[in-house]
Amino acid sequence: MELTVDPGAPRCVSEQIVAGVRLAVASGRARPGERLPSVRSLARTLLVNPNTVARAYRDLTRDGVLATRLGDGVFVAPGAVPVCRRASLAAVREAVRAAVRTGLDAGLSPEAVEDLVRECLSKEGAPCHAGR
Amino acid sequence: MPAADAIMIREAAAGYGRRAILDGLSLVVPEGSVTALLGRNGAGKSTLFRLLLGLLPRRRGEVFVLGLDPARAALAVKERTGFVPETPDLNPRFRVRDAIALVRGLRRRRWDDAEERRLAAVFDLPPRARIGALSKGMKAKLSLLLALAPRPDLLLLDEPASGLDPVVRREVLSALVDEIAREGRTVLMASHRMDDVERLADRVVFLDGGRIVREGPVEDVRAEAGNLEGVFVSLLAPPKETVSCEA
Amino acid sequence: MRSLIAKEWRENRALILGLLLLAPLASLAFKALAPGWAWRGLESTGVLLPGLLGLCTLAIAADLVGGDAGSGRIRFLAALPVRPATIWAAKVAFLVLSATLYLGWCLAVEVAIFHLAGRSPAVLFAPGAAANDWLLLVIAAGGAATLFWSTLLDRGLAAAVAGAGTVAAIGFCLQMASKAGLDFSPGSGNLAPVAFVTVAALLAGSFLAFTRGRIHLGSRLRRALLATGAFLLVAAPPVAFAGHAVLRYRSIGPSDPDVSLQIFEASPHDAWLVVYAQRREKGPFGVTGPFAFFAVRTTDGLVREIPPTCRAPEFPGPGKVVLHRPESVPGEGREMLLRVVYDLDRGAIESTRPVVRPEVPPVRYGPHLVRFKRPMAVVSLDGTVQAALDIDRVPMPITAPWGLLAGWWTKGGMHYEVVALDGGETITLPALPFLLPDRRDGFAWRIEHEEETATVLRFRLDGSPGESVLSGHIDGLRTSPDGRFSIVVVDGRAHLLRADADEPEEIAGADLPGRATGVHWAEHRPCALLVSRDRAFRVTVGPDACAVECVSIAAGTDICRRGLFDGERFVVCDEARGTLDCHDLDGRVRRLLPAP
Repeated sequence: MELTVDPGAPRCVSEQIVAGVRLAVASGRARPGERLPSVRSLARTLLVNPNTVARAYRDLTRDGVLATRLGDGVFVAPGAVPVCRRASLAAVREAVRAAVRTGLDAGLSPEAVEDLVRECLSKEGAPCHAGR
Repeated sequence: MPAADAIMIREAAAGYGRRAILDGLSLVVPEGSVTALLGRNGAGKSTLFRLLLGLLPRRRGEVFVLGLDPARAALAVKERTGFVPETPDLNPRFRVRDAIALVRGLRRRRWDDAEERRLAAVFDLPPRARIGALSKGMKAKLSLLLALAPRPDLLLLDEPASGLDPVVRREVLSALVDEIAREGRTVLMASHRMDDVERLADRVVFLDGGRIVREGPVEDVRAEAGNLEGVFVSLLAPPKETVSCEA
Repeated sequence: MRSLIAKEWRENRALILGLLLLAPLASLAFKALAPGWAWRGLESTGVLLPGLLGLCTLAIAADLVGGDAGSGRIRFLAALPVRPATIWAAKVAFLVLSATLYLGWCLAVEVAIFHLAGRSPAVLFAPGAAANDWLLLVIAAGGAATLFWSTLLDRGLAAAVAGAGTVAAIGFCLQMASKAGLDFSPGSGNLAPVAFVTVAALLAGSFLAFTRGRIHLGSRLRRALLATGAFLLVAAPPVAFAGHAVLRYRSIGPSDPDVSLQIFEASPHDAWLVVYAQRREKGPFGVTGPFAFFAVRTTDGLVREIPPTCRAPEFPGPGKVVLHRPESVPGEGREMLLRVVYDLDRGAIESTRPVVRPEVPPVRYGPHLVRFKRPMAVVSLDGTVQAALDIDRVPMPITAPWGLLAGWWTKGGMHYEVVALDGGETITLPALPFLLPDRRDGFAWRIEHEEETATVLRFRLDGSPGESVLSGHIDGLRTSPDGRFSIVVVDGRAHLLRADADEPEEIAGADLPGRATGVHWAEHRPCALLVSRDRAFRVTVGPDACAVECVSIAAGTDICRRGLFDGERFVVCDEARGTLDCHDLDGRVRRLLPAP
């Protein structure tokens, strides 16, 4: 699972980790039952305070995305995908809304904006098929 | 004084000669936290470190480090504290192994040989190289090794990654992350690298005019201006003259 | 501690290796340049070894503290859990260790060189070599001083120079002290305590400046104050104590028991004596020579300390004494004599007047005051020269109505001559230098000894042989100070010889037991004390006969001890024990000095 954090971004690091895990689960890169890196190991990889990783994991566990098995680590919870997709959906919706708003503010007509969206969609294709 | 505070300073004043660099400074660093000390150049960060180690006499107020007064129990405080100064003052003619041998000999009681070897390997320090011939990054790593090998309860870092190339910086941060991951460690680091502070710190403390002007958890403080850099500049920049454009 | 010493070794490695190499090179160069005396051993142990050792000590000590302080390494150490005292102790230990080992190395190198050259290295260990031990003290002081300055200054060379300068300054102070009589010469053993105090004080200064001086913050003033304070605190008490001891030694008071006493002169007018007191033993640091003069009144034991005099005191009248003191004339480079009149009753100086210093004090002779000069001339007060004599005569205070007595020394002893004033004639006397006859053709006296017996002879000055008048075992003999009378005790009987009589007269009433008898004449009266065993008599000589009185002297009086009789009291001076006792003629003894 690839995760990156940007310390200077407006979103704080633990939120970025949460979002990253959600995206990974939603896109199928992390499957339910898959073990996640330990707090320490992820902290070392990302070069962040382990407490931050721990907090992110706690939030994700509370949301039902992750589940801990005592002594064994952290795993993707069985019902995580729909949760993540829902959350991702909300994030994507927000991103699309922002892009549409930008286009309209720039003077594009709604049809031009729609054409733009279709164009991008066809270009990007569907690289990551939603997992079962 | 609650035992959960690694550092407790109340209304302390300290300085050199007539100048009082710190005046009316109060600070609490909880045990196990990673606290970042932010301030302009010359605000007194290094002075604060000296005060904590008992290297500078305090004029007023109380200072407790790990429950001890550094003015009275300086030795005990230093035993449990690791300090990485901004510029390490090592004899350039010494070899790396000589410097390690010297500090090991003086910190025998808490020195962890295995940890020393591990860090020496991780940092890739050449034992026979002369310190004067080492790069800045190597020197910084050596300094860090000397501070970490005795397994300190409190780690004081003065600009730990400033001026280091990205590769060395990653190594240093990686070692710090390991250190933080260990239970019971408290870290107080002064840094200008907001990135590093955002990554590692739990709490942040702003030093200006000889006293603490803002402190709190990182997430809360950074939200005031988007990120820590914004908060730093908005808090500590001198008031600018407003320029109005005459239409 | 060990790691700190290892640190010092690593930091000084190059220097020490250089010094190790220097030892044989310097030695060989020394021997090549001065082959005559470089092989004698004493030169090695006196010049080469101390020189190398001194160089080593100063070189290491110079940068010992300054090296760390000046480069910021002290800050590194300050943050480590080690006491500043430990760091300092490690530095000193390293210095001492290095210096000691280096000395051993230099000695070994010398022995090897001697061996290789085929000479015996035993000369290096000859007894004379040990006389250079004091150089080790100088080097130790130099090392401590350099360490002291290294703690204050961060520059090594300056510290070494200051250290050497400090030792030189101390040497100068010791030289000044030597002028005051203290002995600080190398072999005297007095250098060791000085070195000890110096080293201790300098180390204390360095220690305090290092541990409390906040060196890592660079505060130089604080360091300097602490170092100076500690130095003074450690050095001042011993110096003060020593100074006090020396001052106490040098000042002699009437109650001081550690002196030897000598009766100098007695007043003819009253019961005052002038006594000379001198310290019996050497004082601290070999200081010698303090003396004092006291005037003691024998009637009541009153003691006055009087100023010193370079000549026998004179007594111009009752209650006064005249002392002479030399003083250098400013700007003229010669000395003049001051005549000090001291009032004994009041205990103060009455007047001080310069006198023109004659070569030899004049002698009063009848109505004349005679001055002996070189070449000696007899000059009357009216200026006429009566006679001229050869040089080297010493005037005697005894005179005959017709001439003056002068004496001179040769190998055989003292010889006497009488100078007849009319005509300048000199007659050499083979006689006792007293009891000169009143007339030129009268009798003079001589005593000849032969084994146990002695014979009193009288003879005329015209050269005729003498005739024996008394013979036997002489138990006692003394002549009065004015040379007019003599008491001779022969076989237990006392006889009086007069200058103007032809026959001896027996002193009736003085039964002496036939053992050694002390005869003590009063200074200024015709009165004598005869003491024998447990008997004592006072004999007063009148114009025709003697009055004899039995008196009582305390038992234990050593009749041969030097004493002074003034007619009423017998004052005994025990020179060795330093006591002055007054024996009254009724058996009482009073101790006059040391004053109780």
